[in-house]
Amino acid sequence: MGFVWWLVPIAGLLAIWQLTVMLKLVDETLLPSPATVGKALVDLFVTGEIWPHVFASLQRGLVGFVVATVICVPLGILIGWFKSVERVLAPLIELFRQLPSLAMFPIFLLFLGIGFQSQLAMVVWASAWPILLTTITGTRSVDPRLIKAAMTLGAEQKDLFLRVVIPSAVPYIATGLRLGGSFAFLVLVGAEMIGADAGIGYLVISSQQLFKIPDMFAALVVLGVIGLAINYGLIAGERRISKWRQTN
Amino acid sequence: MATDKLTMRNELVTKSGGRGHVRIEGVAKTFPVRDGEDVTVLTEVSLELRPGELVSLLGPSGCGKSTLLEIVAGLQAPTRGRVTVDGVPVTKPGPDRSVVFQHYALFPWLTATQNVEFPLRLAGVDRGIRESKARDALKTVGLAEVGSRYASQLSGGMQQRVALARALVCEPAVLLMDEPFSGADAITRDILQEELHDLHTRLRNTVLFVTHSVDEALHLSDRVVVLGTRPGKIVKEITLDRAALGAMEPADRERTLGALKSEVWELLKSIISDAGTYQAR
Repeated sequence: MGFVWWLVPIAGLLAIWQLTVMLKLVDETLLPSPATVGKALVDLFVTGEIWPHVFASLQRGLVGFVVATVICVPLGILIGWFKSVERVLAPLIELFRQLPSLAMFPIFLLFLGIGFQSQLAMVVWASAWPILLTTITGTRSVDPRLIKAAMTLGAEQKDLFLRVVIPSAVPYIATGLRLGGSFAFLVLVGAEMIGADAGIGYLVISSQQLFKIPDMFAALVVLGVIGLAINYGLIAGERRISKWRQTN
Repeated sequence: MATDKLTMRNELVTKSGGRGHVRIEGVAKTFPVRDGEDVTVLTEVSLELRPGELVSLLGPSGCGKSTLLEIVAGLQAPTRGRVTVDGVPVTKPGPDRSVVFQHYALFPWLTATQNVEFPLRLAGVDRGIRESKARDALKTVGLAEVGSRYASQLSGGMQQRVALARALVCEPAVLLMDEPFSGADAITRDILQEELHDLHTRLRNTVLFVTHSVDEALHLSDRVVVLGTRPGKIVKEITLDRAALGAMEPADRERTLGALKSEVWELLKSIISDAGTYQAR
């Protein structure tokens, strides 16, 4: 049944779009009809032209996301747990997280050159902040009553850290990973538009430049569907990890 | 390994006649307050709990009863004085003095069984022994069926029983209970009190029970210790002969407990009004 709630508005949008084109309200070379876009979409898959772009995007996004996770989860736990680490790093974090990855791109270009590495740096930069900040919050928000209880049950410092602090931070970290994952994908597309030779973002911008407008719209559809799939995957993962949080 | 330790201590104390002998010797607690005088929460409290005795600490809020319990638990250090359990001075928390808290403090990411196994896991107890001990402890509190549920899937009363099972699973010498039933609704509270009463009759652990309910204290305790406030100190001790009370006709028992209740109430009222004048000055 939930499916219908997706289908109806999308069908409605397609209908309005089709009508707009049929009534010649816009120039059809700028906004091709859904049927034309659909054909372009099918062609992209039939010729297999789309796959290198999909793989390039997913690879870049995934590697960036994993790098951000590997750096930020341990760092966030350290910052959240050790006051001294926090004192040193908090001002830097506050400062740097204000800088959007697009603003950082020139710096990445200077140091890493045009290509995979600077695009990766942008993805890492974008997804790092939500992961880092939620991990810090999660580590810090451990219920002091649980710490107390664990101590009376014989927990030493190491046990408190591994068996109380980290498990109670997990739902926060899961939320951070979900946000970081979405951000990674969003920024990725931007990065591909300003310095790449493959990727869905690149396909969108190059189709526009070559005036293959139906291809451009088809690439956008692919983009939306992949984004949706990633987001749902991340939400499902988050639910799974934080299973104990739901009441019956 | 942990079981070895437990048995060893068991033997040691059996020689000295029973386990769970708590001595609170001249304990005082002062908290430093910023830009002001220090606040003395407890002053010169001395109290002895004999093995197997259930002693209630009763008093208005601010009398330091929870602080005293946390000192016995080893969660706080006394400013002066000391606490010993079976002759060993308390310096830090340990599973020989388990605590049941008012808000259960179950680990929400663990199932009921895993919560009960938690202290055993820390002590490095083997999996098989761990599982059977956890099962037994849950059975003791009447929750054999719900071991696989998370805390959020249990009612408040059930959560508190899991917390009790977790406290009992290490066979503590002393059970410390900090207003354990005050979060429960009236009916659940009655049931839990009844269960604790039965459990204590069976297991005979030493229990230190903090409460602000006169009824609860009189209903459960072998001895009620009333603490006065600002600073907290013992103002009265009432010993109840549970066996004699149990043998009485219900009407006589009600009358005896009723008389004690009004006596304690008068005392509490005078403590609170004294505190009021103290504050007004």
